[in-house]
Amino acid sequence: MNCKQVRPLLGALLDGELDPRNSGELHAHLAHCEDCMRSYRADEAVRTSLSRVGLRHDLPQALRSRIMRNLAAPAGGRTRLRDGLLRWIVWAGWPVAVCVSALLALTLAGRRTEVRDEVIALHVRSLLADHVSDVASSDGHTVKPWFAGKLDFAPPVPDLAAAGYRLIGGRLDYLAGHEVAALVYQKRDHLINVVVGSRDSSGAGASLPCPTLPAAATDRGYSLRAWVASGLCFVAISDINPQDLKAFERAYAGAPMSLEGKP
Amino acid sequence: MSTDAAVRGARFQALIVPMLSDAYSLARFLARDATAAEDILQEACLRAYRHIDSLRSDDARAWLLTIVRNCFYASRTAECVALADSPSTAEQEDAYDHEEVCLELRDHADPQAILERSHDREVVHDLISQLPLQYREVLVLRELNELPYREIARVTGAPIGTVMSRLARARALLRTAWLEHPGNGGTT
Repeated sequence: MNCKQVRPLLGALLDGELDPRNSGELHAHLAHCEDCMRSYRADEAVRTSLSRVGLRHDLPQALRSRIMRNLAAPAGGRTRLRDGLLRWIVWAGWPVAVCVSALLALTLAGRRTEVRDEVIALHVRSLLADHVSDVASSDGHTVKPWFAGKLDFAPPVPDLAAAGYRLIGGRLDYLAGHEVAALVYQKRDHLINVVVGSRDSSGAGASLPCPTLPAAATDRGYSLRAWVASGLCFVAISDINPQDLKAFERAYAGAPMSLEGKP
Repeated sequence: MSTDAAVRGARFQALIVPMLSDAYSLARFLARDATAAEDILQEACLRAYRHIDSLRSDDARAWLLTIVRNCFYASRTAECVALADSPSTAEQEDAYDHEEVCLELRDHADPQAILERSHDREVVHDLISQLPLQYREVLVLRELNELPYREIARVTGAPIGTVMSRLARARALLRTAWLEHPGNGGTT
């Protein structure tokens, strides 16, 4: 091989793209050709310098959040549509409401399935990406304050260890286009995600579609329970059986909101 | 379909989310502007989410980078219509002679000098940003995203031979600019 043949391949050699025969011949050439060796070393030097300064740009946290919100946006859009419809019914009064109610029932049924899908997606997501919690602690006094300033409500974080549910931690998540708190409890090998959202609907479409979820459901092997308490909307999901999840709901919802009282 | 939403969300989280920083970095170097890069990445993520059924799991990096690149090219003209396998928009071939370039390198081939120059991150990023687009993108796909030639060829829609020569050209231009940069000569 001569220099003219070698030069175009030097980059490929550096990038480890050559087959053994060609790279053998190139190395043989480089061993006795100073010019080509210099050129090779220069490319190598550029690479070393690039990796030294770093080419990576960190992904802004706000952008990541916006992306995750955007993905949930189609569902959010439909919420606004439904709210608009409800307002219109109030204006137009009963006669129209009766006519529209059949249609509305259909919309809600569709929405119900969608939100349920999203809850399951949220649960699976938290397990798959190994991102169960942003704040990992078995202490409610650590988990609860972590949410302060991140959400406009304070999710209750009761200590349920006595009932067999160990607190793993909490994280921020998105559901149907809304920021929600997700608390994670563990019962034996099973993780339970409790999604807590604000029910306040003063702003357009600002509430979690809690009422559109059935109180209890099973889907693809997951159990879900939804309930409303003290102005918040709760959805629990896990792969434990429905009876066990019901027991969890009783323990969680029945637990005294002790953390507010204690120092 | 809504019944797929769970699977789709899970796949997106597992396959795409770990690549976001890679994709964002590529967008930054292509667009040379932080705000534009953010728009490109958001659009690309929507596309990726919508078409995630067509993604094979061993292929996520090149797949997402292709979408990012297509969204970038589309953002310069009209709406992002990019799909992973849509034909490349960057087919404007540079008619440059491979051998000529590779032999011209001798002027700026002092490895020691390159290593000894001071390396301000901003200066280096700036030098890369000044490379013509078709060289910039192969360089970034190789040095930052660490794609093999075969995948760079797929992402850019160019033959492997073209990838190889553009890369050689990109490195030559960069190293020339590097050594000629006025603020760069302090340490020798």
